[in-house]
Amino acid sequence: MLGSVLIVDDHPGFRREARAILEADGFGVIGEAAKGTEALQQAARLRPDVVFLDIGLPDGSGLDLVAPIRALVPAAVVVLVSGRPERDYGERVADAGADGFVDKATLAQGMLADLLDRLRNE
Amino acid sequence: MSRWTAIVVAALAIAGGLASEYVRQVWLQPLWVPLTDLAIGWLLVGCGLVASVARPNQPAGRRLVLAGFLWIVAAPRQFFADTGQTADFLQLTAVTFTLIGWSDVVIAFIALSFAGRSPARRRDRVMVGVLVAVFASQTVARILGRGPEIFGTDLVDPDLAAVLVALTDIARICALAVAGVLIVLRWLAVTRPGRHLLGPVLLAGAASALAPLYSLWYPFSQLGVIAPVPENLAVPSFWVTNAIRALVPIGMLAGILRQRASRSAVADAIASVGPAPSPSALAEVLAQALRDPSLRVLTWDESVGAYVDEKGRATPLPASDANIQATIVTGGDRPLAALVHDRALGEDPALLAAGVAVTRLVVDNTRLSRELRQQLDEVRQSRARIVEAGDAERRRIERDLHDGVQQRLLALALALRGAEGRSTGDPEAAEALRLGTVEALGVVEDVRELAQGIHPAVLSEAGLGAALRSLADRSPVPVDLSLELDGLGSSSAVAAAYFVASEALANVVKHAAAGSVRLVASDHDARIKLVIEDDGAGGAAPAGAGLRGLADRVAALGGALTVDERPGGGTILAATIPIE
Repeated sequence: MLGSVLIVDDHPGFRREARAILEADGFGVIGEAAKGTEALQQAARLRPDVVFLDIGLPDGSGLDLVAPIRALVPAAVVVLVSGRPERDYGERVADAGADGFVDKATLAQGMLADLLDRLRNE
Repeated sequence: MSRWTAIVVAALAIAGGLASEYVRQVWLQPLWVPLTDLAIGWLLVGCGLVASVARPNQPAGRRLVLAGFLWIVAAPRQFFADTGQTADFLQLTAVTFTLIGWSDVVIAFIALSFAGRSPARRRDRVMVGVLVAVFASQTVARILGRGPEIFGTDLVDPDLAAVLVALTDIARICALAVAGVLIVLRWLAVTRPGRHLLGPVLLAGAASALAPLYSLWYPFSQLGVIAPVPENLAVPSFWVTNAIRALVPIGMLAGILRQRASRSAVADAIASVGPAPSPSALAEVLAQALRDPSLRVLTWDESVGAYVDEKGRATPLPASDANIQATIVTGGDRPLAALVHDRALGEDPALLAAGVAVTRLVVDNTRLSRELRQQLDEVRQSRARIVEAGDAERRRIERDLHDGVQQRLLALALALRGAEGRSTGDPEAAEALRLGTVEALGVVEDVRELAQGIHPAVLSEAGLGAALRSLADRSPVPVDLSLELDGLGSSSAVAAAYFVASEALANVVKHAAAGSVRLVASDHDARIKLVIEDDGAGGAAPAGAGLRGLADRVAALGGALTVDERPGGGTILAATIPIE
């Protein structure tokens, strides 16, 4: 297993497909969360290597969760995920302090494994 | 009175005056007698004609003309009445002798009724009736006294006739004097503005009515009550009374023309008040024009259902009394305003009407301007609301596209991608699934482009600064960006600023052939200011559909968009948009 992953997204379909892709690429998905509050609980409990964090959550912006998650699991790689391209968020993605940003479209293009490898090696 | 009528009447007066003096056998008298007669008669007619032409609606002028003709007709009698001398035209002069003094009745009537058609006070109307009765009785007495000259025989005992003539003469002079006193009382009763208007006419009328008092001496001496008039007093008294008589038409003409001058002052007031003066400014101008410092303008407030003063306080109309009067100004069948003024203004109905007309004009104009402003304001607000509603709808559609279609397309692409990963044993199926993924992602890209055009998500997510930076990053022409934007959030003003910048940069790329663009955006004083300056070919058309639509959008939000040639080549587009 390349690493343990927590997927945070409010769309069950996305979580399911992401889990399939990640597991096919050799990652171990150890938890899923549909809301920000759940994400914090899961992160504290599971201490994942990678947190896959959607920006558009029903109880707030994923951008605001990066710092609390990092405080809970300082070693975790936090990757923001969105259905929008990164330019739509201006400087906010960089300001949030995440390790990377994944456009859901690029996820479907199969570039996720490369990104995560790169992030883990950094 | 038309000019031609006036000329004909003047010719008649000249001819009549000369004929009258001829009948009087002027060659038998000292020259100053006919000259004085002609001067008074012609002055009365002349001043009356000038007044009639200048003030066609004022009957005083025509009445003055009538007084002049009565004077001219009665002139031939005087010499014989005074001297008892007999000569030619005996019968004719005896008839005209009976008309003595009727011009004085007309002048008293003018003074008692000025500036209306008839006397306003009952006592003045009674006075006119008394004057006519007394003068008629005197004329009858004189006809009786001149029986031999007119009818060839005595109608009554000559001594009785002489007594009747003397008594009616005394009654005539006394009645005139009473009229003179009433005229003076009328002058005393009116206040400052009224005195200014009526003064010359009333004083001339009073002088004319009181001047004959001296001649009471004659009838009393005829009755033997007092001694005959001394010879050395006759000539000076003649000059004094005739000098007064000559001044009467001049005074009356001055009074009538002063009225006209007052009305032209009202006309000046119209010119000086400006398009929409405040009620207090209007009152000030009217008070000056109508010469009534006490004048106030109360305007009707439909919402309060009452007259209000210049501070908008409901004010009941004062009860009319001896000094104050309220004149209602109406427009159609509804009240517009009330003029609270000195009662004396009512003495000049035409002047008051002019003041009322000015007030109606100004108040109505002010009301219309206010309504127009309100409507314009409503239209402006409604236009802004339409733009804002449009923006809100665009945001909603963009969000729906993102949360709905795009999310499902992404889920589809991910599912296809997952299936592709699981179909390792079937290369054809894997290839078909890969193509399906690519196609689905292509549609995602199309939807994103569409959503971006409808409402750029970056505006909602990251604000105008980030949106402009994103525009600059994607522009093929290098953009020198200078931003001073602070926490603007998302609003119609922000969206308009973004679209202006986007359209301007697109125009630069398409048409300007520019080497570089400078984009400056700032928000100060609740306004977004945007300047986009390029060094290209210039000639951007402000009326082009894209810019025209944006100019409308900016204007709808209360802002302005200008496009100018840049000195040294290029175009400067500037927009200022208020932040609501």
